[in-house]
Amino acid sequence: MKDLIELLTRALVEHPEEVEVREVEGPEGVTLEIYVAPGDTGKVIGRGGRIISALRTVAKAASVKEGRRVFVEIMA
Amino acid sequence: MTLRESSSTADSTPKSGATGGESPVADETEVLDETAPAEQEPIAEVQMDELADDARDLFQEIISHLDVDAAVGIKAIDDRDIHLDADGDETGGGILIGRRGQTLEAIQLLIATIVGRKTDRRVRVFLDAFGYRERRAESLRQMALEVAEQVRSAGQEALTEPLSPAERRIIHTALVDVEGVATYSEGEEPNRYVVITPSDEGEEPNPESEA
Repeated sequence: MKDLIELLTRALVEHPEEVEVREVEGPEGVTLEIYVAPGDTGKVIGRGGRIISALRTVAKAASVKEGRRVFVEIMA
Repeated sequence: MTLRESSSTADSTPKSGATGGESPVADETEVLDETAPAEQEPIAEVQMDELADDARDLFQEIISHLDVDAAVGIKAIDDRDIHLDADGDETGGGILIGRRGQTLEAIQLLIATIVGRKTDRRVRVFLDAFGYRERRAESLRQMALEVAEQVRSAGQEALTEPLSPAERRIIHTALVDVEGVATYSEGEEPNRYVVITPSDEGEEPNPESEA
């Protein structure tokens, strides 16, 4: 799940080498924190949040088999 | 589908489409690469082949990450459209397609955006999996015709659930030649939906309206 989000984020940004995704366990599930170069934040969010919302949908699909909730956050 | 009184528009979102007598079908355009200029020469075929290969590889990789057992093929390529199709073990369909196709739509947007970055031209990517699109289209057409019949006999508007631009187009097209009803879209993406309304009381005047 983390690998998939990392792969997609790298493909979306200008500076893939600066992409990092951290998996943080919490009481309600796992949060994937996406870190990108400052200028790339908009690319990961997309107009009207369409890209980040698509990433969340895909992460949710990937989490089905693991049976836990997943949250995806872009860290500014 | 939900029915609402034709007169009670107070709680509805302002409609932003289907104005000035434009065809509601033409209104349902989905801009996947929003940074691309509107007017484009067709992309050279060699380059489209490469982009299609990239799109296919990416779709295949996403499918593997989802633990779905399916193989991706390139169904069609034309001037600016790439159509991909995944087929295999249908037990993975629920995960890959998602509720009302939302996972497939999300993957489609991501692939179109990623592949679109490799070219200045506008490229559109269309994904299908396990024959979902045609099944969905058929059930939408069926539903549209049934609801249109109710709308006509009850004289009340009906609203669809939120639909993607392509899905809304299916509803508009299915009802374009059906007498006594008209359609338009309303609401903001991603919650935009179609209103099916009795055409003799509709907002678009119908010169042939019967009393």
